[in-house]
Amino acid sequence: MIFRTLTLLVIFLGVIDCSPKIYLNDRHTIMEEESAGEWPDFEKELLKSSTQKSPTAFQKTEISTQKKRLFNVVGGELITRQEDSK
Amino acid sequence: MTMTSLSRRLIFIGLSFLASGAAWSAETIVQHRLAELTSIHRPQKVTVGPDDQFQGVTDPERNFLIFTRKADMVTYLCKQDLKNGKVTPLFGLQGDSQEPQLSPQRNLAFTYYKFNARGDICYLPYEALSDKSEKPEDKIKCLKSDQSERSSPFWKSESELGFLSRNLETGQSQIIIENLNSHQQATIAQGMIWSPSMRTGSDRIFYNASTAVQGDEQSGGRGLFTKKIGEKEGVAIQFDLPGLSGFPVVSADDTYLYFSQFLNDTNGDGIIDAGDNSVLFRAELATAIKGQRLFPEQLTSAEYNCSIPRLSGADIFATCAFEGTLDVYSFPQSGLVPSQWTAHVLANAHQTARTPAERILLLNVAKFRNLTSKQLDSSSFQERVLSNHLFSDDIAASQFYLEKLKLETKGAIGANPAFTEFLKLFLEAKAKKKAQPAEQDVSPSFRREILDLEKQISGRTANAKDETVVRAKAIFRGLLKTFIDDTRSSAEFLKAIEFKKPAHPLEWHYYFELAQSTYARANDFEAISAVYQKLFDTADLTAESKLYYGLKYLTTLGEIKKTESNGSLAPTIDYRIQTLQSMLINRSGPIISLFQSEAIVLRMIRENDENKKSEIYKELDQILSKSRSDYFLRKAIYVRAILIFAEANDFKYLDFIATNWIRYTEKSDTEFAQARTIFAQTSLDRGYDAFAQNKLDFAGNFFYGSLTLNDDLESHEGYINTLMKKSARDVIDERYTNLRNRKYIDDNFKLVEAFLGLIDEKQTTPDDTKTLDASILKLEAMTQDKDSPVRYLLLGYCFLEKLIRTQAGYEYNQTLLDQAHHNLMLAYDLGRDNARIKAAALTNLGMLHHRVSNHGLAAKFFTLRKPLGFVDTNELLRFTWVFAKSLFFNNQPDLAAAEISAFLTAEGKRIDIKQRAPFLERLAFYYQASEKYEKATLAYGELESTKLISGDLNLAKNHLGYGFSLLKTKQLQQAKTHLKLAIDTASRLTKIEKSKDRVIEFEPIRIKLNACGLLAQIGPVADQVQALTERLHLLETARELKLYDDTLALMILARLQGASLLAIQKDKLGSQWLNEGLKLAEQLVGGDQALSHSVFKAITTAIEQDLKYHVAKDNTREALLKSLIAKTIEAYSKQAKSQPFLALQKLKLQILWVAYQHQILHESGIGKAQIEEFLKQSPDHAKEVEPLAKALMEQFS
Repeated sequence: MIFRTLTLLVIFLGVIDCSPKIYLNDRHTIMEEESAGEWPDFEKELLKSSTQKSPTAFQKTEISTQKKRLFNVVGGELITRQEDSK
Repeated sequence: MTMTSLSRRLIFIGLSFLASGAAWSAETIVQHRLAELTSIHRPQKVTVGPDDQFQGVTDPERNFLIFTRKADMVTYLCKQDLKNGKVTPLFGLQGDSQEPQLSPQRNLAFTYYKFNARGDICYLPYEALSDKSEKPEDKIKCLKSDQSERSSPFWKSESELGFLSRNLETGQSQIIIENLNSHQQATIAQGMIWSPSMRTGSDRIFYNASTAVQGDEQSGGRGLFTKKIGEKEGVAIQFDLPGLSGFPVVSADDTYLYFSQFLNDTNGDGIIDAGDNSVLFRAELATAIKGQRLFPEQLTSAEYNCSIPRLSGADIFATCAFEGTLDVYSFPQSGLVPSQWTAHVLANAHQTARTPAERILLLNVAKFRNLTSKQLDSSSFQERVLSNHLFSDDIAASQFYLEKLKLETKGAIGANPAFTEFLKLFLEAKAKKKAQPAEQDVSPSFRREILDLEKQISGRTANAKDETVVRAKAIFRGLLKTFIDDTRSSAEFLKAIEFKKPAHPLEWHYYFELAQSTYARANDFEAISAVYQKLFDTADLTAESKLYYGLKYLTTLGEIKKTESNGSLAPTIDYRIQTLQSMLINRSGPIISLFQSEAIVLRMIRENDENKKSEIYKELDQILSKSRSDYFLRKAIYVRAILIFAEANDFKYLDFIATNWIRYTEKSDTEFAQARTIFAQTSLDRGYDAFAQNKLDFAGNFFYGSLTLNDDLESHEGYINTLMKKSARDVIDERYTNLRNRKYIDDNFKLVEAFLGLIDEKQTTPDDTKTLDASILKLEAMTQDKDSPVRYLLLGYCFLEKLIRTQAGYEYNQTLLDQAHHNLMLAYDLGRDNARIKAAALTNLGMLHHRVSNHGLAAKFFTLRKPLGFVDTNELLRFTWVFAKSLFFNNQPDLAAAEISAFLTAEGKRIDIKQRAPFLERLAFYYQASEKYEKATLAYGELESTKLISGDLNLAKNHLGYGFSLLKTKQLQQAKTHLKLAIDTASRLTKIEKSKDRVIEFEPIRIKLNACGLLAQIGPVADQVQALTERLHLLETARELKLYDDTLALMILARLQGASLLAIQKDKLGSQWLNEGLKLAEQLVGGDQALSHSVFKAITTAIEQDLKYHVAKDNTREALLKSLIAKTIEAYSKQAKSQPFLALQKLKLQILWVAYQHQILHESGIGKAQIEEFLKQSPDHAKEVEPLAKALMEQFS
């Protein structure tokens, strides 16, 4: 009984492992494959250069929140006794 | 590389800060320098990521942190290794968990929702938390639950757990302690209470309570209470602070009570509670528990919004919200203001503070530590704090300090009791205004409330004719009018205000607020300018205040819209310079220097000649030199100069100003840290600017200067990229050896190695990942800047590259996808304030998800990326191609076409013609896919004219697409031409098998099939039948090749189409085609597809056609139909629960068959009665087929 159970288990695991992966091609994939032009060299080169290791080297960027804070000027405190001359 | 004098200057400035005689081992020069800076501490981020992370607690040795994470509305506990930052969920996600509490023995208590939606109090022994424990959830133990809602666990002792139990019906709560061994419970407090807290081993409980009478929420108040276990009543802990206290925690030595203070209603819900921004304080425990009102020590600034303090060693771990999400941060228990600061340093920090919230922190600390000075004397404390709360728009806190100030000044701030009264009423009005929904019209009830308050102001009779009273009335009545959008009345009040007698600065402040609110909408610069001039000229304001208003004036001047004589709308530089020069007349004080420097800077950016510009700069340099000792003036000049030069992209002079700023600031000054940061950021920006202009020597110098100043990863990468662009790879190693020897870099060198490894990589095979693996190891070993977004970006890139190289068609490694996504998301989250990092992270995230066909998400990331801009046309080209593709696969072909079209319009002339062809082809294809056939034909036509379509494969597809679009736009002759060309070209092609780069095999027969199908719609019947014949022949081949799942159905359709065409011409061939179609239908039925639409279509078409054309009986047809009808009706009938459309189809078949039997087969006994019987049997569908049935029965004789 135990031997039979183990055998069935092994067969079952083997089937699971050997079962094929199924991929469903959607309409757009088929449409592109059948009707759109192919530019393999152009696309290969393009995709290769698209990923980035380092920050994008923009010449100029918007002032960051941190920088805005550094440039912030607080109004003089509105107190009765004035410390300095006008 | 030659070091220019500029770079030598940068290095010198960097090196000049090197403290002599300092001895350090692993610490770099940069770290040492940063530690020496005199600045307020900043909370150190402990948890990272885009989700909310809060309620963090650590073990006593600080090995790990347990915290709550909220992602996708689910809360769950996580454990973070504090040495390497690795985070793992503690349990599976089957049940929510939160509120972790660690005992001194590291046992974990928490609230768990797996077994009970109201929450269970559960605990886990320490052993289960260790890394070796496999499934900690198996060791969870929970206290027995009841019908109450349970939360807020705490450890009374290692064997006693306390918690809050709330009765859901009555709303009343109890604090219960349960013994974990005997399970005996004791209630130690009850009522309207929440947030219990107790130090383990103590006998004193802290909790929040409402003293309101039950059912009457307006009575009593809410506060923090304490009592010893066993005492009946708690003692209210009173702090001399506005708002509500909560989340109390006692230090291990019982010295301090730490707590959150919610000072204002920041979320605008009308109540101050834990939903509002929080500030952390601490107070001496011994004094607090006596119930005396005491002034506590402020630890954090309101800007950081920190709450839920937990103590560990000498630090606090708190939950703060100031960088986009909730995260756990740590800082010293003495707070963000260093405990060793003297009165002088505090005053200096107060002077250089960047926000009113920071000033409030410093004022409170100075008061608590009794560190007042000439600059910060105690007598002006209340006014200063009130002033800063008013600037921050903290209404509740302002009201609190106004009351205190009234007591101090006997109700007359600035000797003006009317002003003081009216200010109180104004704050009430402002609170009501804040509660109004934004961007909605003024409601009648709000208008009434404001007019009531205005009445109270105007109704004041004491000293009604005194100028100060008249003035105060006009100011506040005018402001109230702006709240109800009555700017006409407010303008009248404004004009009536006079300042013949001295006024308190607060009066001037509200006078200015009134003018701004009144004139803002009308964009009336002349009117507001007149008000500014009064501010500049009065003796009532300090120089600092005047400079503040001066900066506002300059900003307004730079933004006004002015119609020029040529009709253009722009605040021209000439206009600004002229206006400033007129402001100098008959005016004195530092404000003059500010306006003069502004005019000089504007003249500089107007000047194109470099020599002349340099001469003008000397004038500015003189002013900077003269104003060296006036901190406020100098800072105002620097800020304006930098902003103008940045706007004009003049990085050279921007750098001069930044250098000047740091040069004239003493290292011990609290301003130095800010100036240093600005200088470093400026160097980095200059590096990028020079890099973009290909001035690589300059770029290298600036990046090098920045990295020696900060040792930041972005500067390192910028420097390396610059040298690589200069083809100076050999220099990099030498430079970094030098930097390491001089201790400018240590742990961060791991990133440099990883980065250089990727640059130097020589891939042996396409799936070679050795270098990527080596780089990943180095990056994962980093400790110093392990939470830098640049590091996460590079790590994410490595995992992305690895995924790409190991991917084969649809197959990819899920772990690599998860790791790439995780790291890139961290780069995006941590780099949210840096557009360069954000752009790179978004690009990589889009590419990642595009590669694994997750096109919806890819399109989302690309959509976020687009507004950030692009470095050059090539980057935009690459982006547009992939973005359009993602949009197409995400079922948005119209948007894909729009992207390509916009790119070609903007950049088409700048790109190479060879790059233009693929874009034109895609444009045509996406137009076709989005059914915009006219535009598709134009694009195909343009593509054809370039003659850049090469190869039979692309030619065949192009002809097919073009032909289809022409057909759709009814250009039939041209369509025919192109479709025939598609067939001819495809005949020369052979099959291309699936591969790593091709997910579907290419079979040229598909092109021919499509073309034939389309040709079957064009031209005379003979041509169409010819095309169908060809199509059928091809379908036979397709059937053998198993190209389609539904080849039979396609063949039936072709047969039926042909039969219809031939029947019109009364061609007997049509009958043969019908029979062939029915034979094919038999095959489908034989293959268990009797219910398929093709079979139904075949039968109904055959019957309808025969009935229509009154054909003679055909034995073959009769036999086929009889067989098909019997089998299909049987199949329909076998449906256990018939779907409505199948029942309808069955009914149609039945009545059509009756008609056929009667009309064509002339079977006796078949007539209208059978049809009527079928209709009776299917009452649900009878109405739908009634017209058909009627028409058929009319044909019966």
